[in-house]
Amino acid sequence: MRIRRVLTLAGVVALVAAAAAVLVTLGRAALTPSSVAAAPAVTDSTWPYYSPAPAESGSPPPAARPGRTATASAVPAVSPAPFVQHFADGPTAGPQPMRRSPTAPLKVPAFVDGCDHNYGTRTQCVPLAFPDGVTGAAGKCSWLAAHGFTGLIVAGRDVQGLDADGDGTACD
Amino acid sequence: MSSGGTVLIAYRNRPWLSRADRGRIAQALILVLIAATAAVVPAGAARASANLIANPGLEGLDPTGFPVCWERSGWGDQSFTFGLASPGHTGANAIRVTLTTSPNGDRKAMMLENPSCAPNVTPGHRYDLSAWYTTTTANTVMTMFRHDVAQGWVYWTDLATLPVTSTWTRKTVRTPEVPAGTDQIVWGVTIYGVGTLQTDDYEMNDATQPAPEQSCSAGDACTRGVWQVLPFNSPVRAIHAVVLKNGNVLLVAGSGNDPDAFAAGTFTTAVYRPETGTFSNVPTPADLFCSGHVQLADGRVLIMGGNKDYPAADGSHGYKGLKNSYVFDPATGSYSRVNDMTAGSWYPSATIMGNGDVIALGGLGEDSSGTVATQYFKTSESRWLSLNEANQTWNFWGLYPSMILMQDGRLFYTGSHVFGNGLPGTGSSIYDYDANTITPVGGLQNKDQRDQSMSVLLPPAQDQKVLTIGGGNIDSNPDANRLTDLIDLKRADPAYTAGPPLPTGTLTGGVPQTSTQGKMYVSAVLLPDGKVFETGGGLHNRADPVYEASMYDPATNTFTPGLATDPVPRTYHSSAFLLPDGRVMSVGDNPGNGSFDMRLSIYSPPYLFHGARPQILHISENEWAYGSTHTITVDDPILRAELIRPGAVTHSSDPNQRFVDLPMSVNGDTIGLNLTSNPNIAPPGWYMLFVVGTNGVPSVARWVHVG
Repeated sequence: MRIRRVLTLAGVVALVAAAAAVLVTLGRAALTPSSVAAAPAVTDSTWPYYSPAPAESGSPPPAARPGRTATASAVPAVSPAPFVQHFADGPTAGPQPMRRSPTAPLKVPAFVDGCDHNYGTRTQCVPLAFPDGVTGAAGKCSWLAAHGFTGLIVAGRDVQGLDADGDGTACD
Repeated sequence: MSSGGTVLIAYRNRPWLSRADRGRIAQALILVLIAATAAVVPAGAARASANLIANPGLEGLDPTGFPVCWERSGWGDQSFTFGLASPGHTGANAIRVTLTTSPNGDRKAMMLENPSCAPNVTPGHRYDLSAWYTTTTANTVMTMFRHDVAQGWVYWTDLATLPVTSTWTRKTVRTPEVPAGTDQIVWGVTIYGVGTLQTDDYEMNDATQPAPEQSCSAGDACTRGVWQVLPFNSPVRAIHAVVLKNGNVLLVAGSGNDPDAFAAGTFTTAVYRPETGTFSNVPTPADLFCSGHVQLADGRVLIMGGNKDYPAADGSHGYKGLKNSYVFDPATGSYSRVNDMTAGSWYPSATIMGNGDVIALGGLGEDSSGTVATQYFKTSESRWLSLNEANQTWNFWGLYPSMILMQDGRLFYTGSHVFGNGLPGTGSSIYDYDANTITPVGGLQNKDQRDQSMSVLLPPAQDQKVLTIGGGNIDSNPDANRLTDLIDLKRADPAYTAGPPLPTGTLTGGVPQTSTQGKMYVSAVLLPDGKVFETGGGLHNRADPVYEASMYDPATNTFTPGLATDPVPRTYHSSAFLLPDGRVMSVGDNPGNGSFDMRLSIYSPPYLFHGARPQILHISENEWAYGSTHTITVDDPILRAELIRPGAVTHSSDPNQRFVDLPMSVNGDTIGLNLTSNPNIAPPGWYMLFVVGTNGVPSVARWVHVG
């Protein structure tokens, strides 16, 4: 019985040792992810409030290692340069041709806001183009009424023919 | 002897191992196999403590003598060397990278981008990455790439700048949530300045926290949010809205599109205090209606241009732009004048650059002509440069062109603009102020119907993606559209691609929109949970409000339709913006009949109904330099932290709106927040710092100053 137990124990030990050896080899050779358990509490020694745990990662404190200079506390604060990626640097389109300094103003329509300022106060907006399906003086006046336009003066010319009676008020 | 012989015989007749022995050995074998399997199989959340890095200690070397599963990586024209340092932080080896010249580019030892070396990841998970390092240059940064199942290996993001240290130092940073479609990542420490970097003992652990059970008892508000129309009106026509560094809101009307006020010289501004629901009137020195505005690096607001005149009824002239410029100081609640711009500016854009200067483009001049000058405000001198001092392209950028600062300092013209057709060509482009070039960008759908669409730099700014939503055309006045366009400015040759269609809503009287009807006058607001809330809008030129709101999720490129809609119509001259408490405020509406809606609305997004808000209990300091790490303490675990630049919006245009992710170094409730080293990602200024709890609920913002 004793021999059996000894043999059994030896067999188990040998197997565990072999498995451990395999794992260590794998970890060293790094052909697979390591099975070394991470420290559960993640730390960051660059924090202002960092105080290193003595047993962290199982390594001796840096200052105790031979051949190292330990001057971290004297490191001056240095600003990093901006880290810029080289994105969007291969356009297939070339740049537009350079323009010359203009010799005349760039004309923009007076009614740039899409409003026909021939009508209404200058803050009102009778559309230069009415939505699809709104046509003719009747259609436009109906649309304007439905949108709260009242007492719509003709401030300029009646270019859209909304003042049929010519009294200076459109759609009345 | 006999007994001994009997024993021997008996022993020979029995199996070498008894049944019990075999059982024990089998048990031991199973245990060993389980341990071995657990050790070698990459694990997800189920094994949160497993280091997922292959060859983390760099001890296994390939035939070239370089660590197995690692490669020499980088780009540029440096003089550089890769090698091993011995001893390492632990063990025999560390990787040493030395740059002796560094005119551009970077170098880094990276995990091999192949299936057996690159760590496997699970979409939606977050990972703590750590490495030990020494570096002689502050130009050192942790960088990640991800393997997208559709695109292959692509840049993901930079996590943290590593300070100079001559002693082995450990840096740990948590990744953002792994994007959908990602199956592996690689990462490393990058050096991009002259110096020497050593790294060793890499580690990567799944840090995914289980989401708490969601509970919400607020009914519809749980999924749709809720609007409240405030019981008081704005004292001014809120055409321009700027969130100030103290949390108050600057509401600028000028003449407010009211010719009577213009004729009387009555120009108005008010400061709204959300905490008390009160207003202060601000003496307003000129007609700042139609101006541009942007927060400067110190939190004051630069106002440029405005309205010199309304158009003549006979069309003899159009709107005229002022050259005046002012700075509004939140501390004194007053305007002070700076020198005039070089040209009149009615509807100019204003974008703050990484150096804190401001570039204004487009608009109308003092004679109603198009302003073609590039106008440059030099903040350090508090003045507009003269025409010859600034680089000039003489290009007309239209009105309120949406010019978004890219990570390399160029400006992306999104194609979103105000009034009429888009610019000639493709309708969007990249403008390089330094090189004085404009390069077309393709892909924008229907560029002549993106009038009063809205563009946003999507969260996070590091991703360099822009979304352009909706639009119409006040000249041809078609039904506004449902188009959305997405562009990834990380690509070598970026081009817009079509996004999902904007959800439809209802028109006046509850009439459902047709399947082709969308909206212009769109407001899009970046929220602290990383989504984009879009609200308001109209179908036609200053007419036909659309009642529709939805939530766009950049992570999934989808709109969640059916959110609660603002009861107040929000068309022309409407805006929406984020308040520091995580709610959204909506102002203004100026339909064609000339009326102006003075009501104010507040939207509480669904996240405010899903449990307790995390609290930022302490911030180590509120002056943040680029590339620095700052410590906060929170009362509960958090998922993410970010900076959101306060709104400065008018006419669906706020090119400076941005959400800057702050990769976290987590140690319980103490969190290190790592700010980018790149000012083009987070231009200098005051930002709202939010954290988001594991329940998805954001905190109330604290204010920090960047730069």
